[in-house]
Amino acid sequence: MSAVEIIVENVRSFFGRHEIPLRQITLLVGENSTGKSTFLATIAALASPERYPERPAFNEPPFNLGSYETIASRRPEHRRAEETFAIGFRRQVRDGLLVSVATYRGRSGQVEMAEFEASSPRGTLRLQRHQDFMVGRAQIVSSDAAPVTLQFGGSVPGQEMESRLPSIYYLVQNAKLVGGDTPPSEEASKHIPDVVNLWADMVNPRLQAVPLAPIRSKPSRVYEQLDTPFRPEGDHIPIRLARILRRGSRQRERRTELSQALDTFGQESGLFSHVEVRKLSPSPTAPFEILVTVGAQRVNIADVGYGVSQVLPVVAESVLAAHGTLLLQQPEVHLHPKAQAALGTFLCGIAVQSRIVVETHSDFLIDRIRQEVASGRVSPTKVLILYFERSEAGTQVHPIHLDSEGNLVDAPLSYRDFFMEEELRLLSRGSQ
Amino acid sequence: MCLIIDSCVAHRAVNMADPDFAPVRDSLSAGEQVLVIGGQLLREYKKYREIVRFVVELDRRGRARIVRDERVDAETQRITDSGLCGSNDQHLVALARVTGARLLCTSDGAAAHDFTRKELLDHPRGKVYQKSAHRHLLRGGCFGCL
Repeated sequence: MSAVEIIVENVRSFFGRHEIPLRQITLLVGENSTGKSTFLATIAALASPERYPERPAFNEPPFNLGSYETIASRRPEHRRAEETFAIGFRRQVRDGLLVSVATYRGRSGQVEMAEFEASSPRGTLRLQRHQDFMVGRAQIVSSDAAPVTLQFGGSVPGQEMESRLPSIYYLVQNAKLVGGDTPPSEEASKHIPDVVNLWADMVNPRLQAVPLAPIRSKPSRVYEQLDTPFRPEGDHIPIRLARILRRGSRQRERRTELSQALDTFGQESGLFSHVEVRKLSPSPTAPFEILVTVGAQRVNIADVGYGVSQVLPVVAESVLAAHGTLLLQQPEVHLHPKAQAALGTFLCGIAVQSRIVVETHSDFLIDRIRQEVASGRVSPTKVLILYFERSEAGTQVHPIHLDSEGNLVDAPLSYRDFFMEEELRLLSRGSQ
Repeated sequence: MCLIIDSCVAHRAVNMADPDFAPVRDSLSAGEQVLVIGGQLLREYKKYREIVRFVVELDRRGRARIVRDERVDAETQRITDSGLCGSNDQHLVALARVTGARLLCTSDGAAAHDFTRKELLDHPRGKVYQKSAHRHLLRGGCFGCL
């Protein structure tokens, strides 16, 4: 997977512009309310090419950043929110870098794109919106011809209109070549597919985000065979498990992969040794139950510790969403440290084919990933710890790298201050 | 700058009531020093739960560097084979050679003697911290450790 940087500017506690790198495994750490979830929400908003940049999904579950007033930064010394904020990304492409940044302003309390600017070795693209009017300019670069520049403009749907296609698809129909005829021109229309392709490339960070909520759904004793769309809380997982794990499933490879992943994690974590699905009658639409083997007993998922039902969606979705970017919020909740450590090993295995961004407070999960690096199973270049620190200047994000022995490199002095002081106080309680 | 804490004084580094080792503890906590560990020294640390906790926290903060045992053990063997070491603390000199650390905290006279011998450690020479009067040693510049 290619390297990606996320650009965040004047979003909530991110005062000014931040360019934050992602690796194959990116661990977000820091105190509460330092911007970790906002960062994940930004990734999720960027990872919807059908909505970014014109209608970014800032409030798609499990995230809820709110309206313009709650998204734009409000510095302590200022009474009002910043007039604009921006999000974007930078990713490597074959011949160089692709940079894509959208700037937003508030309009009737809602977020409205004010400007979009992107560049790559294939060209540049700029859109500016003025009320319900948008103007744009695109330059197409190709290796076998001179660069071509087109400009276009026109009305676009208002905020209340849920436009199905990005505005550029309509605007470019009336494009004219810079220095050419008045629109619509035959010469310009030849380049419309190029502009559309350029756009499709420039709004896509190639992240395919799969966000999971910090609290997953409660387990049920019995599940219905009903189609359930993806939900960050994992409501869709039981039915997907039922379809993949059932005997005779056509998805034989997937069944083996998923079953092995679940059982391996279950055994290493000490949570269970096997997961299976049992239909309550032979009918194809019969309800079913999820059974887990704990020790020598097979029991209903509702009858085992809460940790099992909380981690099952994380493990299952991680396998099912191969080649995507998993956005995990505290996957360790309700897990014993032994299981948290096993989750670290599991995520390292998943990271071979998926990108993982994990917001975590678990030392055990991070320690285990460092051990996996030291063992040579994961390259240190594929792991990055992002330490989110609150300061008067807003959130500061410190990248902390690992060396080949799993040691932290370039950790700031403030990193884990509290923990050190707490340890020393605890060890010295009999000496004071 | 990297330092080595001999296992015979490691318990003093984690005891807040020990004034002689308060500067060492403070410099580690403040990130002025990085603790290096590996080989025999790490095996000795593992016997003491309180020291393990302290070292693990330093490690999680990026204020400790764990060096692979095989690197330290191989160097320890070379020093033993050379017959230059008078004490049985070849592993401390080996750790210094592998990592570049040149400051040792110890109360062991024989270990201190070997650590400061030019034949064993040079460019720069090793120094030994034993009490709070030696706190100036903690302010030394980095010797290009690790």
